[in-house]
Amino acid sequence: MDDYNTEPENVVLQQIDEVYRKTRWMNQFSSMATLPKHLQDELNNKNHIDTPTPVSEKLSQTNNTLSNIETSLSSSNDPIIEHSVMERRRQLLLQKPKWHAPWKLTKIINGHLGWVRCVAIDPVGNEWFVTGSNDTTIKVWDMSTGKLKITLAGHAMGVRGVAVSERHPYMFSASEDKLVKCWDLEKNTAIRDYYGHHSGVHTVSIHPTVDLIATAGRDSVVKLWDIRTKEAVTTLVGHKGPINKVECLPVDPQIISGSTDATVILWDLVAGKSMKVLTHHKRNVRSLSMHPKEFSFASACTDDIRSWRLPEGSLLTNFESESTGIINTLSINEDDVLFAGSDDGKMSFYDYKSGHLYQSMVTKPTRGSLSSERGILTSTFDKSGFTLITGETDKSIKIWKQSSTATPIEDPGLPWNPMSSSQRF
Amino acid sequence: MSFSSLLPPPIHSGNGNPQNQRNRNIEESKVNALLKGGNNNKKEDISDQIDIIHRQIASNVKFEDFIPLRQRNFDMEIPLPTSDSIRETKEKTLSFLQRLQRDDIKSSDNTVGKEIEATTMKIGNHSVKVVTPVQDPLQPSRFKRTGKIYTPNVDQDKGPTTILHDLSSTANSSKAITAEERSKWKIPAFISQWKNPNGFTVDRVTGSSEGGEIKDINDGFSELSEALEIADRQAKQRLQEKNKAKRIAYEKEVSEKEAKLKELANRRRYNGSGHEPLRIEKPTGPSHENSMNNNTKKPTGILLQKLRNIAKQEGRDISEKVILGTAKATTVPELNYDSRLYMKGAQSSAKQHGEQLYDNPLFAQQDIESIYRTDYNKLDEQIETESGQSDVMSKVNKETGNMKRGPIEFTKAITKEDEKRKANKPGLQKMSE
Repeated sequence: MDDYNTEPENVVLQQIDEVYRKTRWMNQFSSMATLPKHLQDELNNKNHIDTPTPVSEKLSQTNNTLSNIETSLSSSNDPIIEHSVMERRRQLLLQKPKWHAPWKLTKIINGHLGWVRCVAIDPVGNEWFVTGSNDTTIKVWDMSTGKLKITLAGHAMGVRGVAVSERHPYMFSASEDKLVKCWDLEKNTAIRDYYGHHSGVHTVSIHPTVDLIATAGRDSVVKLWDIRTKEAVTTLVGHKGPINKVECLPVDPQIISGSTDATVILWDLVAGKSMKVLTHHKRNVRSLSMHPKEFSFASACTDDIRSWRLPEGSLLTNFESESTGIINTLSINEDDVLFAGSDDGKMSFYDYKSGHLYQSMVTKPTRGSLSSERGILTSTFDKSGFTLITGETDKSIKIWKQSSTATPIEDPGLPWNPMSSSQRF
Repeated sequence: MSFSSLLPPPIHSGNGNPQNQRNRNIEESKVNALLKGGNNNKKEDISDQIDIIHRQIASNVKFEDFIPLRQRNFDMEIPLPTSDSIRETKEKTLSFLQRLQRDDIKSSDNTVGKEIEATTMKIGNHSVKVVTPVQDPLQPSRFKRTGKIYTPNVDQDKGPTTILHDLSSTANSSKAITAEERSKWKIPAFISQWKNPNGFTVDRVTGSSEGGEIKDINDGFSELSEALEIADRQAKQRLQEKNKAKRIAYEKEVSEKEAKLKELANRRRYNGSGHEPLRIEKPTGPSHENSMNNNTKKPTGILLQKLRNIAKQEGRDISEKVILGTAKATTVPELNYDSRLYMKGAQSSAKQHGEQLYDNPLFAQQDIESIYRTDYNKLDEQIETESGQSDVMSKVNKETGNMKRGPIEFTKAITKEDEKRKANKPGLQKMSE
């Protein structure tokens, strides 16, 4: 412990340690007349631990040390972080989250014969979107009219992930039949298969700069494929459970994956190992979503949504997500709206920056669907960010839009009442 | 926890790997240090490690690291990566991939990127280059496997698979199964595997042994069922006997009654009114008495004429005889009835015995008597209504006063002399009347 003195910034820490130690002493032994024998012996041997002093003296001492700490804190740190919870809460309350207009259902599209498991937007023209379903088909829909453009069949089992490339005329689909397929969107046929996963593939993501795709699935590895040669370039091993979601980034960490083992791993692609493992989540991390305008991402497990700063992966915000239930999907808007779709059909809209839940509703059941079919499985915002597309367990695709007439006065949303749990680490 | 964690560690694990070996040594040393408490070298080692933790980890951790970063300022800027950094990373990644590919080609005997070896052969003047065609490694086998693939279910390490069922009956006694034994295992075709509404017991186990030797059923159960069966049979018998006795008694009573009546009839026939046989007396009313009195009267010409007119009006062709018969019908027919028929009629109204269901006649006696007989009252009414205002009957009625019931009363025919006599009478007479 004496070694701390070598570095000047450790003074604070040492002082905190001291305070802590003294309070422990006070709590345990201040009421005793004599110390237990073994402790007394130890004290006699090691003189650097303070001998117990009368309570009054001690109190004054701790007060002194505390004041010392405060002064040292104010002097040493630029951003002052209050150590009292109440103070931090007060600071939170001083800030107001950004207002967002409420969301409304505008369209229900039926056509799939199974759960709609994944959805992707045309990244170039924003004119169509793709959905993959448990009925093994991929369907392309027109964005404005909601009409079916084409149905692509080729997978033998449910399609779990689709991704449309920005730089190629390709679409990639991951399926439970262990296959990843590459579709040519000019010819509307599957042109390549990527063999190699030992089990169902849950997610696929296209690298933004290099011609690589990352896929992951039930075999709990992330595989990187060369698009042209169909070869598995590397396999990233590290997760202990099936992987639910993979995202590719242009800079390190180039791959982020969220898994059933309750971890999010930021991968160093070149080194072939994990850069950072985020173990904050307690449950299955079912979804990840990148922010389109800033270098951060959000991840969700049951009743817990968090956003992280990249590239280092430090905790940014803890969302007000105590009673959200199982969260299947996350989507983030350019306008800083985070949407979380729950397994029981609950839809939660958050302000991304403050973590404030401003709208919570339940999805509208389609006619003829059962009460058990109320889950939101997938979601995405379109390129403009004004439209939200969700894929649900009642086999429908729903399109939601922000109401244009709403004003902050008429539609204030849910009240801003940050809880102390939003400060948990 | 995954299931793989329950598996034993892979063979050779830890032995060949120097890293594992080292880790184990460290662990051992820690354990030793804790156990012995002595050995200064190792103690120092531990304290070194603790120092490392303190110096490098704990010293760098600040309190604010444990607070979400956006707590203080929601509008914290997190810029997207610059294009330079993106390009840099791309180059780095691409070079890595190229290196990876090169290494791959070098190390493995992958034929995809390699130059294909060619052998030149000389045939006459020509030199022929022989090249093995490149094959897609992912192409499925061109040879189709037919038939079942034999896979021995024997694990090399553990020896043959243990057989869990009892082999004593088949393996030890090597005798073949007799036809009789086989038949015991046979379930008749009509017993469906899926539908068994009648509850046939498909009992393969006890079916192998003889029927009487089923020991699983409790004795008490069989006794109870037997006792119940006996009791049921006895109760049925008793009920039957009781019914029989009842029937006999009833029949006896009936026959006695019959005999008594017979006797009475006989006595009357032979002792009482002498030669007159027993006959049924018709229920008699006042009209009947009248008719009895006028028994000998024949229908007069006027009535006959009248009846003929009525028949004509109705469009019926009725013979003279019938018309005369109608006039005659009031006479009581001299009919002899068997007394037994009378008895049967009496019986029909009596309380019926359960067993003689169809013995009694369908109609009661009085119905039978009147069923095919002319209803005079009805006839009277019909005549009255149908034969207009200049009806003889109405005149008759007026004269006699009461002609509603009973047979038609006839008046004396008015002769020409009478009419003349009436006409000869002066008007004064009429006035006086």
